[in-house]
Amino acid sequence: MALLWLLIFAGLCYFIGTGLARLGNTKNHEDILVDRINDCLPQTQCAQCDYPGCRPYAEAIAKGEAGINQCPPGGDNTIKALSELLGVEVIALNAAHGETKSAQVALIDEAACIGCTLCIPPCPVDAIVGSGKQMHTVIAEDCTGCELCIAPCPVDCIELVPAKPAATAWQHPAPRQLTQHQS
Amino acid sequence: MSSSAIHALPGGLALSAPMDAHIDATIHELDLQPSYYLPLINYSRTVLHPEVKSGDCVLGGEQLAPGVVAPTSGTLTEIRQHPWPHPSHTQVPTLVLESDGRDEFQQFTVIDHTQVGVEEILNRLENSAIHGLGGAAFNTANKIRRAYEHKNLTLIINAVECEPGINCDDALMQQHPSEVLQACNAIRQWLRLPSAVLAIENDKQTAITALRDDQTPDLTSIKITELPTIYPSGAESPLVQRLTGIKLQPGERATDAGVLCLNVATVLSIHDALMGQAAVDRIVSISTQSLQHSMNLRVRFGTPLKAVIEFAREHNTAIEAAWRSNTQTIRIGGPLSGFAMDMLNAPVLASTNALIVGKEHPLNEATACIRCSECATVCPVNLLPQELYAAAASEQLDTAARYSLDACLLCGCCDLVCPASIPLTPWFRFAKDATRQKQQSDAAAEVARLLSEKHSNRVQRRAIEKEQQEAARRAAAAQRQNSAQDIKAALTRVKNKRPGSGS
Repeated sequence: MALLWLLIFAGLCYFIGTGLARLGNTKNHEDILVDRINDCLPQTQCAQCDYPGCRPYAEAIAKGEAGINQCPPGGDNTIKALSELLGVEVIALNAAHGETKSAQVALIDEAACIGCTLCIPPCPVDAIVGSGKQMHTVIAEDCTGCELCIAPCPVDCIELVPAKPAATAWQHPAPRQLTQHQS
Repeated sequence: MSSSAIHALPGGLALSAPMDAHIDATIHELDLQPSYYLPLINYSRTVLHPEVKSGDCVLGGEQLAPGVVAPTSGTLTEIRQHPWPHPSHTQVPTLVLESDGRDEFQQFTVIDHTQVGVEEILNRLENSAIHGLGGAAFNTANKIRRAYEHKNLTLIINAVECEPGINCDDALMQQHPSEVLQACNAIRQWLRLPSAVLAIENDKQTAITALRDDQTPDLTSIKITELPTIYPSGAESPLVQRLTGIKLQPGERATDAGVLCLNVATVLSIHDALMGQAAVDRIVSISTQSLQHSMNLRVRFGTPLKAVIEFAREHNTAIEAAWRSNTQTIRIGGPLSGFAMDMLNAPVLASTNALIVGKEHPLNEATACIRCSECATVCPVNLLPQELYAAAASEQLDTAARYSLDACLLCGCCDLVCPASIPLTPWFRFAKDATRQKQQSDAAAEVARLLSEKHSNRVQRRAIEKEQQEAARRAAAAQRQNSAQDIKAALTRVKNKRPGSGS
């Protein structure tokens, strides 16, 4: 009798377990891989990798169509993270795609802006506010510094500035060549 | 507190000022300065927005920005980039207050804690810009707010002051024992606690005697607890562990565990603020590099370091001699927790507890780790510094986090005992900063990912809608064309039917 109950219990556990697993696992393996690759990317959405954004680039990496060294904003850190994730060699950033820069945000010279709205559609994160013949401005917290708004501006009133003040961005340096001054 | 037994500290070092040290416990007063410099940034490096503009005349104690009050009366001449006392050696937007020499203060009411609610008291602390004077300069109102929620609150008044070369709290307790006890008692009453502990290291016998002599019967609810002199007993988590036995988890604060630790000088500032007096100064210890000579000076926030050093040089020949040996840099903070500073026009802030003048010993060349694990023996929070170092030096931040980098106090005990002279604490500082930066950039990337998802979904939806509209328009045009042809055909038929027509 006890054995029967045990069997019924085991059967129930199996059905509930597989049911839950199916409910929870709505994504297929390929999507999970793309998500994990996408998590390594800086989400700048700058398209310097020759794909229209970070996720399309992640899809291309997952398919084996793109290398892991095409992301200038992510730089060495992204290459390192991708190489660990995918089990491939660390390689140098492909200079053809651009160079790694420190974090930056777009700033509109509001006095010079003519309100043409041309910079608004290219922004991949909707960080520019403005409407026709009205001044535009950048929501600095949302801006990824992708530079896509720079070229469309007919009056060249958008520039890139450091994302954080120097005091906020500063980090304690790695004490490789530690001097008295840095201690 | 369940018992009065003092729990053992797992590590730490018996550090103490030299036996023959000349510590001048008199609190000297610095004259009013012509200008005060108030950085518009807080210690967590968030930029503050001023509530005043240049040209404004202000009174002492008036709030200029969140967490910044005027140290005296005068005119705000400008907001400019100016150095601040921080290891980054950066310049930050700074309010320049030119003193008018009258030193007038804004009048505040006395807050009676039996009459008003806790919010009013915390608002007063917030508006008086009370920050912890122990060294980390936390916002005191926030700290008390977090602790106040707890039903079983323990109040610890931290007068341990364990790092050699810092003796400002010692001087304060020696000179003003009754004020200290009164203030501690007032806070205890306000928090409705039956008792509070004042923790002090047993090498401060003069201060202990002064406090005990002054302890009138109504002040016995403040229990003076002597701790053996072991650095870093005064750091919050070791202190909580020693006095209550509660072991804080990595990243957990004492307030989360229902323990409120307040530095003894901070308690006096809180008391002053509630009594309607602006708390705009602190006591700064100035020592020579050898820690043989030390003096204490009451300095208003915003005073340039240069003015403090000049006063100390004038009044103490040993400090003058130490200064002459190295006029380039000083050290802000203690010999272990401090940092070198060469921008002497930077101001004194709440965190500036001590200055050290003189030539530092050059650091020994670091050699390879010999796995002696001395560092793990002295670590006061039971970490494995050798493992943390390996993780930090190879920039494996996840591994460092697994070894509880978060719990590291940056006390510097491991550096002192390392026979290979490895700069362990500088590596941990680096790893902590890199971790914080990584967390911030990950959070920002997540926001950007969601925004870009929304953006591309919208673009796609628009494209589909446009396609549908286009299709509808084409269908309508085709319809129109069809009906136009129908009409034409009908007209032709009518024409053909008309009598007399046709050929």
